Amino acid sequence: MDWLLGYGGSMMVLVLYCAATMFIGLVAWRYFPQSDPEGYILGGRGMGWFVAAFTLMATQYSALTFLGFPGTMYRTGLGGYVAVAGMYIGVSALYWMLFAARTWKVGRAFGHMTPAETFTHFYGKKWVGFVLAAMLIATLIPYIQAQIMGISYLLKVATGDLVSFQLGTTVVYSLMIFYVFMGGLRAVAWTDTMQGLLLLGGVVVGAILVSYAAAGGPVAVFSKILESQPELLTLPGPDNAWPWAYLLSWVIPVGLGWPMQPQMWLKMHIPRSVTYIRLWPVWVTLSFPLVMGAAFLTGMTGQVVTPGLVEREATDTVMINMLLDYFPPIVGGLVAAAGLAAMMSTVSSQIHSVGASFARDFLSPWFPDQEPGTQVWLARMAVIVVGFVGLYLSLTQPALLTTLGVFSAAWAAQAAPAAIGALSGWRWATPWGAMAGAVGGTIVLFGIGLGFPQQQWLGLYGGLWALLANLILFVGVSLLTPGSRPADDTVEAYRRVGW
Amino acid sequence: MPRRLIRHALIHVFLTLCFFLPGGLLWNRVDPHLMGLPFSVFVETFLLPFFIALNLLGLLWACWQDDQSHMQQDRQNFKITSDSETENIGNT
Repeated sequence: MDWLLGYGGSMMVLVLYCAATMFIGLVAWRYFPQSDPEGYILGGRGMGWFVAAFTLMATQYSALTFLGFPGTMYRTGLGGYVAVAGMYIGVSALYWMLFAARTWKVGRAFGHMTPAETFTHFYGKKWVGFVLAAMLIATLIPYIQAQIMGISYLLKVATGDLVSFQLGTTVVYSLMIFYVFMGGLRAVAWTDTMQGLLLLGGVVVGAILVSYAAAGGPVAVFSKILESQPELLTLPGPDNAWPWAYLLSWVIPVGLGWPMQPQMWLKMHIPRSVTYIRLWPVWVTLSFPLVMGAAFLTGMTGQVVTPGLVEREATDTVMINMLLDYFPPIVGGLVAAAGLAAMMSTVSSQIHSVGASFARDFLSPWFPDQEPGTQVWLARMAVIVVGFVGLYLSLTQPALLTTLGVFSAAWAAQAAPAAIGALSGWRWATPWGAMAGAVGGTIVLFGIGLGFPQQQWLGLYGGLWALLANLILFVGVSLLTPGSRPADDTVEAYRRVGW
Repeated sequence: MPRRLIRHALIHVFLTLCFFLPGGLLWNRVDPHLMGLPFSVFVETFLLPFFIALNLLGLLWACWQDDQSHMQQDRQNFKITSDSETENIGNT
């Protein structure tokens, strides 16, 4: 019995979770064999509302939801919650509200699957698609690496150090590569659905359990915080953590970056009906208070139980550490499985979308007359190559990539002006403008990020300066290169697609 | 871009800006308590997301009605085309 309640039980839960994930992935492959690229990359554009909603949610909530954001909220209180809310349900939801259905319709009308295909089609130049696809793939590398570090940490803690960083990472990563290789998008979406349900249940139940065990429940937690540190419950938070201008300058680029990432873009094409895609921002907004409210409660419970933590790793892992302090390891294992679900659902979607992009945007132009079956195998090979490159980088280059990780979303946002120009069918937009904006924005982002303390200049986050530079260059260079404007037929075709 | 989309987007932007209300104003204070939560926490974690979701649901409803009327129109156009084709075949 002791074994079951201890780390043995915790390991058993994690093994069962991995087996269930593998089983779902294999069922998707066995009953929906993928014989054409649209089936492998987009699940045949035929996902129902439930699977479409959960795959979006599970892909969006990641290691940050489980480890990073509760830590941010521990340190900065309500300001941290408001920052994340502004990013997800303020800016990202606004983008989806305006452009998700449009992306879905453009994809159906012209057969696009990846972001680069839309860029190439609208701007009429292949190199725009190549460069922007390469940039978007590069933005994902640090993000994948951060997820892998989260996975390895969770495995280590939940198994009492029985599983090493290298072993845990290799096993879980290989599992993901296997089911993505076999089942494609359908395997990703189905496992995401299971993982999304587990994530929702685990993060909410975990937060409530910890708050009751450690401090007498959510209301008691907030009462105690009110007595000891009331500044955690208002903006801008302790030590002026989130001044108004900085907060706004942070949420805009980071919130715009999520929908630009290839895995999110690709998923805008998968629902069967346009109504399901319009449901996305509603679903994000409704699930947000549950998931992030739980993260906020966890952060505040941490402040009641163990105030004064300053090390980032200690604050980021406040939830799992409290669980292990107050409950037997098997409960920690159950919640760690929910954390793994959050991370694996994101990484598997990223491997799949990067593999798809690699096959469609980089290999297909060199082999134009492929059979559909060959295209599927190219995509599968790309998944393996991309997957193992990610694994290699995670195991060998953690320091460098963690430094780059902070730029991930803000960097992806540098594709936003070009994307909005294409999706809205802006007739003055040119490939030179799109390129100048993306390159200029990236240079500004890295310049401020690497050259100024806390990645800010004049009190504003570097990502916003980069986005402003991008916009100015995009519009300015587009107006200066009228000879490269999209063909009238193309603009008219985009107009006819509708919103 | 359709006007209804712009209208709902502007409401969304307004509600989002409400999240970032500067210090000391309106709901950026801990009293009164609602549902056992400080006022600021209640507004930011429940009330504002609820209003944002309501606005998005309104847009979803408007778009759904629009999609339905378009589909009905397409069906009618298809029926008229089919009828005239049948008539043409009959005449020949």
